[in-house]
Amino acid sequence: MGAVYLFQAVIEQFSIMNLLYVFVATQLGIIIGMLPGLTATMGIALLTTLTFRWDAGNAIVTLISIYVGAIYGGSRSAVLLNIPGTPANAATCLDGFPLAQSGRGAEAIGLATTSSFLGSVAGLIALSFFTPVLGNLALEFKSFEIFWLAIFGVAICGNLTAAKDNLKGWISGILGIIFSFVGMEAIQGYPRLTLGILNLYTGFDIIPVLVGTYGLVEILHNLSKKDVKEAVSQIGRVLPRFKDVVANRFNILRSGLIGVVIGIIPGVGENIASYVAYDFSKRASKTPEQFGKGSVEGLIASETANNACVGGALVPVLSLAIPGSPPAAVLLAALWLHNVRPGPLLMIENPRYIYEFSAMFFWATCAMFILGLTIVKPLLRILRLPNAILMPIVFIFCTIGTFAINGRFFDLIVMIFFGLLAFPMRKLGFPEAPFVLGIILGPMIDENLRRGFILTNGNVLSFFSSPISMMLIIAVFFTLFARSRPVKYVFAGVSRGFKSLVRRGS
Amino acid sequence: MRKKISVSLCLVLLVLPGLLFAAGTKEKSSVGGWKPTKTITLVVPWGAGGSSDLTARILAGEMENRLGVKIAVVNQPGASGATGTKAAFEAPKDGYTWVGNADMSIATYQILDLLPEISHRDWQAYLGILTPCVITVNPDSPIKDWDGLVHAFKTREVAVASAGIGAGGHVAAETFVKYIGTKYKHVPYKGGNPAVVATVSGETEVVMQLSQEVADMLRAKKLRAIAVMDNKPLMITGLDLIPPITNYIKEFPTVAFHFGLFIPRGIPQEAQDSISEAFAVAVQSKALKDMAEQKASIAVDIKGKEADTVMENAASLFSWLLFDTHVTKISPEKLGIPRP
Amino acid sequence: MEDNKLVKADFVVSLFLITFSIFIIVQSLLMPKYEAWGFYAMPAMTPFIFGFLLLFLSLILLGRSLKGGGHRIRITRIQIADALRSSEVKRFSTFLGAIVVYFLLLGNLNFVIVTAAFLFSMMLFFKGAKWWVCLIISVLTAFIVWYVFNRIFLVPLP
Repeated sequence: MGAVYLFQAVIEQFSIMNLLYVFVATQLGIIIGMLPGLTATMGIALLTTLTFRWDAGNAIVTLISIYVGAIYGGSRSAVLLNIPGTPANAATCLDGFPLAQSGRGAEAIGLATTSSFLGSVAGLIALSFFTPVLGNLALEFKSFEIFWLAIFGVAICGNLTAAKDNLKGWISGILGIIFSFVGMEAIQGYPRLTLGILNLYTGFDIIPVLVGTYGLVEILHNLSKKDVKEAVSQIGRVLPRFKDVVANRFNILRSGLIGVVIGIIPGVGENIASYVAYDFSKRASKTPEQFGKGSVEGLIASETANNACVGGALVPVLSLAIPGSPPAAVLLAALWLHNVRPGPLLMIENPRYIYEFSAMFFWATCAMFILGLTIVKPLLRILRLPNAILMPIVFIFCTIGTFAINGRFFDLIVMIFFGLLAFPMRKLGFPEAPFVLGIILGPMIDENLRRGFILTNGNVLSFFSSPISMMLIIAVFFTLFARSRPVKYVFAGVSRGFKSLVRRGS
Repeated sequence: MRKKISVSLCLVLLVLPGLLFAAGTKEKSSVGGWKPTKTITLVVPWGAGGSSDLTARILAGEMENRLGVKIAVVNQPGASGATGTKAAFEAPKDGYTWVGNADMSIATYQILDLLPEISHRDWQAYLGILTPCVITVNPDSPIKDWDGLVHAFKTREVAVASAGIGAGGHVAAETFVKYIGTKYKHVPYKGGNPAVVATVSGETEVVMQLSQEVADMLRAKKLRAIAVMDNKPLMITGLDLIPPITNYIKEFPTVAFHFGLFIPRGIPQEAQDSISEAFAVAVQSKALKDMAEQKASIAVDIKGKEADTVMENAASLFSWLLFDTHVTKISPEKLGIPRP
Repeated sequence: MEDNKLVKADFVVSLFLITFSIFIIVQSLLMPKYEAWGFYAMPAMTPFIFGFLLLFLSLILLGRSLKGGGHRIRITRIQIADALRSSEVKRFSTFLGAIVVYFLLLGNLNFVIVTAAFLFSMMLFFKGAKWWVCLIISVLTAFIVWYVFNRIFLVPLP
């Protein structure tokens, strides 16, 4: 029945005017996503102001398209320049940029587009058919569960490096976490590690840090090189081969599922989804040594997951009025401003709205796919521009993006600081991906650990009391120790015993 | 040929959004003596989607028309809104920088030592929304009514969620236990929405956040209302009246928050007049009334001297409460704030 | 960087990290305890734990670099002089200096003028193209950026 309603809504929205809104807004979202510093959150907030007087339907379809477009658009700059356009695409840099450098830029963009599309479809399915069921999952993630999820994030830091050096990955991650503690904390409101500077009370926003560690470092790296590198010729088809996609069907399915589930968890957004999917994909891969050097699988995992996360994040928005990610929080506010009241009442008062909303999402997804594949080749010309011209311009965009987020001059100083910190880090083999992940994870760990203790008066056992916690703990354990000898030994023993049992049984 | 087409297509798609959105920004004629010539910046020192943000965005949207210029809403969250408020205060006093915040926050930055140099008296307030705190519990909780609530607080340690130290729910809970004479377990979250969600999910039993933040969950029966911290009952469309707390404790003060715009004093008089006039129109708008109805709060029109009184009362009530509960060590007396 | 050099660099880095982690641990010990909340809720809790974790990991790094002979570094004056004279360092510091000047000028002068000047000087210095091409690109970029962001999208510009 749901499918019929969805189909009806999709047909109803098929009009020239509506499609114009969708395509223009999606393109705008892609551009916003591409510019370092301007994120999906920012884009939706900006457009909320501009569309305030519009008719509710047009305004909402515009905002959804911006969201979908921006999360996808960030992959462009990640692949072309090694600068993630939004935090969601930081994991895309790991493999997307090496692919582009080896002359497979068109293919990388095509793959990113296709996997974003497939991820978006996974999100669409969750959104339109499972919203009532999955919505309640959001309520299962309380302080303890989110704490363990964050710990799992720390555990995968060691895996997010191109080199085999797990140690440096973890050091990077923990450094990021420590930097995230700067500022007023969430429980008693005490300003930690601020050295008495009021500007540091707000802590480090993720955007200046991201733009500094990726954007500025890349600019400095390119400009300080003596010889200007010859642009790699970018020939090749954009549309990925069907068999490449089919070969990755499990990878796509897995990443889509991870994206949707992480999207549903309140407050945990696209960035973590893409990191986790990347890690899972590396673990499951037959060629894990290719990861970080231009692995197609890694690129697919990251891009599928972050777009699947968009759909996932909107599930609790519709069913409970709880945003699943930071951009979804702004979208929720926009819905309220337009007198649409998502939440538990929506199912009772206007159950068909889910399908209307999903249909908007559907059109935005289609627009993203088509726009993503059509203007790849002119875009690749960016790579042919000499660094001396391109990099100063990129720097201007980095500056504007960083400033625009909060309108604070201090954020520019933060960006420079982290750029100067990350530049030697990169040269010395400390990867930046875990560092950025650490900045995101730090507050999650801090808040939820201490709140969990407050709730149970310091009872440690309560952290192990729910099934979701246990699952996450097991995941952490295997992430950290699966390759160590005793665990392998036990594991091999168990599987051997199991196999012999099966054989005897048959 | 194909290259040319794709390049031009690329250009068209780049330019089109600009044109489309530029079309919506036609300048309209302004009123009053003051003719703003550039975009007004409205700093909301909280995240997008919160109560301050919603109120500010609606007011901005309505006032744009009257003033004839665009009003850009900029979210500058962090440090309980202190840094964003400070930045706006330090901007040139020409009427082009406003703040969208709550009376309580503006009134307590000084006492919490976040902005030691800026007093609530340095601001002219324009308050558009009034929203009282509501005592609500998780529907599975054994607490069914007022007596049950008092009994629970007296016999066990009840976990109360709040949006953080000094936030609405915290102030309400502290006031409540002051009158009941018990203790409770304060569980702070990062914002009103997470605190309400924690109570819906059962992680905490009680939440006393603003009516705005709990209205939809009450309507959906995911929370149960016990009383509103006001002297008149609260009406939420589709629900029974929520009894006022003064039904049970006569002298219980009203714990309610005003949301609106704050503009530093010392801007040109004609700018002040024009803003006042535009504000008066904006609070009568359907958009604000709809939002108030939907979010179980009240659209008000408080400005000028009346707003100063409201701010003074808020400062006195909240500062002393924070001092008495040892949240802050600075005495309100030092700042010349009388005890309520 | 070659492995040999990297091991030596690791040695220096690990010393830095150890100092930093001790700084964090000391800082967290100085934070207020908020006894009323219970010891488990104090703000120092997580910085303390992660300070220790960092200390632990940097000690492993130190041990590893010692095993590889990382402590045998010799820094001579000639090496430093060579490093300072290299064009890489020159380019790096010029760009950084330009950024500082740019940021200092930003709030004080018109955005379009400062940005165009910054772009033009950088493109010239790094020899991007002929000077008039650079000029056109810089002025156009600065103007378009200002127009789109400030006029259409109402984004505050520095």
